[in-house]
Amino acid sequence: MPILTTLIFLPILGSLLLLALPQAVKATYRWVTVVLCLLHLVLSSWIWHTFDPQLVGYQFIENTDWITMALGQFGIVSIDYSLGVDGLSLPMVWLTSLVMLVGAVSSFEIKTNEKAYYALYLLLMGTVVGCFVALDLFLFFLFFEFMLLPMYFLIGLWGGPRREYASLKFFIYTLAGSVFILLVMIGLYLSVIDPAETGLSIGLVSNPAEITEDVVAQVQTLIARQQIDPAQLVHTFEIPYLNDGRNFVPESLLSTLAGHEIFGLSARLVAFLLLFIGFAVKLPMVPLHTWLPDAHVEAPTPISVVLAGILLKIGGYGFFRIAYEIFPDGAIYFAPWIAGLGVLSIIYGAFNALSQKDMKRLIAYSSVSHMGFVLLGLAALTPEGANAAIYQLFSHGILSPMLFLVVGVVYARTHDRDIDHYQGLASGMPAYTGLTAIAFFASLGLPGFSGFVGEFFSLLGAFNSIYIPVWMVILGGFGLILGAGYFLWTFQRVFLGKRWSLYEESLLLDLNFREKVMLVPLALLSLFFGILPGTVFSITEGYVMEFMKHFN
Amino acid sequence: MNPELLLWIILLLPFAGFLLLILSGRSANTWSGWLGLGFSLVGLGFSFQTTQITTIEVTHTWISEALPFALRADDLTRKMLLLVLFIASLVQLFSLEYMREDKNRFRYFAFLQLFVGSMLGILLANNLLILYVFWELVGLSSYLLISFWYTKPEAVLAARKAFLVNRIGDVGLALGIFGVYNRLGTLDFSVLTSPEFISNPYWTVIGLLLFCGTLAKSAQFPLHVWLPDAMEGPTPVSALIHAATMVAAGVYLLARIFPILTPDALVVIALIGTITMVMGALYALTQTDIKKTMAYSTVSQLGLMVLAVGVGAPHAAMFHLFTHAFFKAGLFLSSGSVIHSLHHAGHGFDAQDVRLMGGLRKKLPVTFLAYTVCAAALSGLPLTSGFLSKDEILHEAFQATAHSWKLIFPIAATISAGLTAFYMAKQWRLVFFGNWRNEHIELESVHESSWLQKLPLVVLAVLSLPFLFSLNPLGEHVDLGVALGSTAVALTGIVLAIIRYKSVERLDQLTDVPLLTLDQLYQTVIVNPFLKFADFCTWIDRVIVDGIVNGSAKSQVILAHMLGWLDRYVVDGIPTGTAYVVGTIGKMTRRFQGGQVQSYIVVTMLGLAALLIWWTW
Repeated sequence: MPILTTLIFLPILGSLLLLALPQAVKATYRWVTVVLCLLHLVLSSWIWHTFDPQLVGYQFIENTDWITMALGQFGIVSIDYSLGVDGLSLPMVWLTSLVMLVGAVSSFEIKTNEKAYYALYLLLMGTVVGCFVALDLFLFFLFFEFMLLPMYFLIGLWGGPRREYASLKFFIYTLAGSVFILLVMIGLYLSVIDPAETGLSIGLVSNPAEITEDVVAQVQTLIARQQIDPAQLVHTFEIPYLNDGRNFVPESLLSTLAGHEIFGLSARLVAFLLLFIGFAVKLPMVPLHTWLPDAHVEAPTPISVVLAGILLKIGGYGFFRIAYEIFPDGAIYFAPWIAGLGVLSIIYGAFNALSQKDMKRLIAYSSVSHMGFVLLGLAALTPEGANAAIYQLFSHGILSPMLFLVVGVVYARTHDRDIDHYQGLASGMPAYTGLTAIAFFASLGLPGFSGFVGEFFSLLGAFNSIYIPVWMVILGGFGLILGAGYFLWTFQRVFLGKRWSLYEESLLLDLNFREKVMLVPLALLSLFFGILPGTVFSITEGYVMEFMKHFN
Repeated sequence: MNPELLLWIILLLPFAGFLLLILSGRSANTWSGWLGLGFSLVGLGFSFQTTQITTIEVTHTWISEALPFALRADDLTRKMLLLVLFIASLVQLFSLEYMREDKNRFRYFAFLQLFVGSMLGILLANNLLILYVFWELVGLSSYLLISFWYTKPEAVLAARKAFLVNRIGDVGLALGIFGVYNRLGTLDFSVLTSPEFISNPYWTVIGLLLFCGTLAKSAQFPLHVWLPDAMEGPTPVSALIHAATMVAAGVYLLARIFPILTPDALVVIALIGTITMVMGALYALTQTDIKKTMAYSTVSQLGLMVLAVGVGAPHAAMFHLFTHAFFKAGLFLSSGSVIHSLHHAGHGFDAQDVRLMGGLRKKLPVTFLAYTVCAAALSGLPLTSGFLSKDEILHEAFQATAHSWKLIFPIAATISAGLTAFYMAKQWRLVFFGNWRNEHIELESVHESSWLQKLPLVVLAVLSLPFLFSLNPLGEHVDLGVALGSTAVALTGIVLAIIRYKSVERLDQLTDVPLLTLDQLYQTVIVNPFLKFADFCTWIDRVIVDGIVNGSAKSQVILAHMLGWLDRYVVDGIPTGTAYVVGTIGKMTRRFQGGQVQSYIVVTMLGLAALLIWWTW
């Protein structure tokens, strides 16, 4: 069974199925969604289980020719439907299944136009998975762009009072970011050759089965000597080919050797910067982050869960898979700057969180701060840093849904998220208080929970980096104090002290069963991965070792 | 038993107790204390077992090969294990009675178990990473226990402050850990003990960063501010965590990393210890709250221990850590006993204010006796354990610093010993002697509590005598000069205090002396500016960053409108204009093609005529 294809199209087919279901069975929409998400989680858990961490490269590969066009002097364009997972994407795929399942349960509170909601929700799920498993840049981009559509409607139709502004801002911001990515894609298309298919097209071999490493090497030599007629070159978007310098046509725009310049900067550095900006919007990184608080504040709780839990991770994933792997020279060149922006995100996000009155805004800014650690760990270009950055993405994918669900609990009861309108909720809402305490302490990096591992080792990786000055690490460490500051301050104001709130006691009841079903597993998972970080590191380590080879 | 398993059991037992209690909820109230006590006693038993084996090590891969989950029990660890579990058992025994009426006491005992587990983790850690993990967990349990009465605003604020101040120290510690890892590629204690470290600035900085951990956890100047506030927690908690064990973890850390501390780093450490010691003693002089005096006294004593490490005598520091743990826990539990008795006698007044006490020795004889022994030990009088350890520190310090400016360290320690004797004598006198000064309740209504409370007091008092530590009550090798000198200083302090407070029988003669504390300074210089800066960041985000975003969006719209105008009137103008011109010409020419044959003939004729004219011209 093509398992990755199943992971992409199971939700998309589910989405179509929902559209076909009559309004009369309205009550089943949510259950169809939950069941599909559950099935999805089982499948991706199975992949995790069967994944062999010892193997180098991608596993569960699926590859089919999709679009092939001869463009005369511009060679032959070959776009493949190419899927696979490795130590980087596997945790993200699993996270997607998990967060979407939690989000689906959280979606029970959506009461209007459920058919469209769940159809869009499942569509979103398919495109997100597609993003993580696509090995062809064109395919990736397709999913990356398509994702905006369901997200735009999910915020714009089911959101809060300023939903139009927020959804439009989200849409345009991300779209602007992806234009940069598109530019680089065109550049890459012009520069990179698929040596295997080129071998076929020049008649070196006659049958795809005969392609061996020798043939590839032979073609690469021919490319280097420019002995192939440009019309016979097969251009590709396959990511595994894009990150190998030998597949670049000499003299092409993005070749490592040609040294083309744009505005006085090497073309490769410009390309890296463009990709960086594109994904930095998604992460988001200060100062490209202001869409995030608005989107979160307006989005309904389940969409916030999904947004923070997975969509942000695509930014981090893009850094690794695309910007860094394809342009390692750019990553090295800009490393101190990227680390600086990471630290800026950590500190600036934390300070902003400190002064928020709206709990959801606060959590949104905390996300900005936490994503700063990803940048810092990544910029370090050390094994510890890279592992920690992936781990931080994963950990935040568990903790941020928890944080948004926690805020969703009060919001569902009173439609008010103002910190100053509550006090001493601990009396009377013990389960809620306990789970919030876990979410907060785990997020502020308490050892034993997953948040600690990501933050601590990002900093450690940055400290060991030859590219990052020590003062940045110290500032980053300062972010740990601020993190404790805003979480504890909020916890103290809302949960501790004498019970008081603007609302009637009868409104503020403790967690119901559905809320516990969402929060408790997340808390346990954070604890599990915090105590046994090796479960994630054993998967990512192999990838990181390969990743680091680009930088030596 | 398999030694590795033994370590795991010792470490995990309290965590199991924590989970069991916290998940049982209020149904555990009745048996929670007994369960906690039982778990600690079992742990104590297992810890005794470790003494029969030499060093035990356990290593499991955790983060990576270089960063394993490593436990180790050597001599120092074993002694500390016994100390922590022993005091924890006594404190839980004491708490059975003390917390009897609290309806959330399952949480109290659960958090105590969490604390014990985290503390044991610090002791058992065999590398700095594991130590850091439990170091932070200890901070968490301290937070949870200080804010145990979470409806009390002061307690809640104190808890937050404790956690945040400790976080500051933790970040320093973390940076120090990064520095060690960066140079050595490992965080193993065994590597830290090899004496290869030469005196270079890098290791001085690393040593001081690691010392930041001590600074916060052991309440050293300038991060001591959280400890006095932490007294808002239940008194047995103060005894266990904020006097005997957790705050000593900083000293333990210094003893562990002592080999990598360079001479320069040690001077700074000694200096900080001295400042803390003197400052703590001075603050303790002026307090009227029975627990606050103890808190500042603890700050001062921790300063003394840190000073001892700073002058190169970590073993003397550890010795004082042990003796102090017993007599300070004894003092706190005695105070707790006083507070508890007053609470039971009546409400509506501050049961911790020594101005509202007096003459309690007749009503609380056991407490009085225990308090007296422990106070004597704290004052360092001969025939107590405090005498042994304090004199060892003084002896070592005088020896190490002779003939240099560093002589001020032992001199300051001697002076602060005098201050210590003074404030202890003052409190001893105000609480147990003189007239009853509380108008809210009758002295007659005050009674000693049950044996559950008295037993721990007696045990701790007995352990404040020298016999556990030395067969000779004056120590194995007495430095006569130091012994006589320090005893004289202590006695002077006591005599002065008794004379000074002899005639105090009225409240107004004992007012709180307002002292400048660092709290106000921190509030104005750090906290408030931080919050202002946070607001400023939000302003930047809203006005500048979002302003640029929305501004560019608006300019896009304006540009779009301009383009729209351009499109309609200029770009579209060309085809429209062309069409207009063509249309007009067409209209004009249309007249000529009306389909009337007559007009065609006329035009043709005219044309022909024109041609002919042109031709013949």
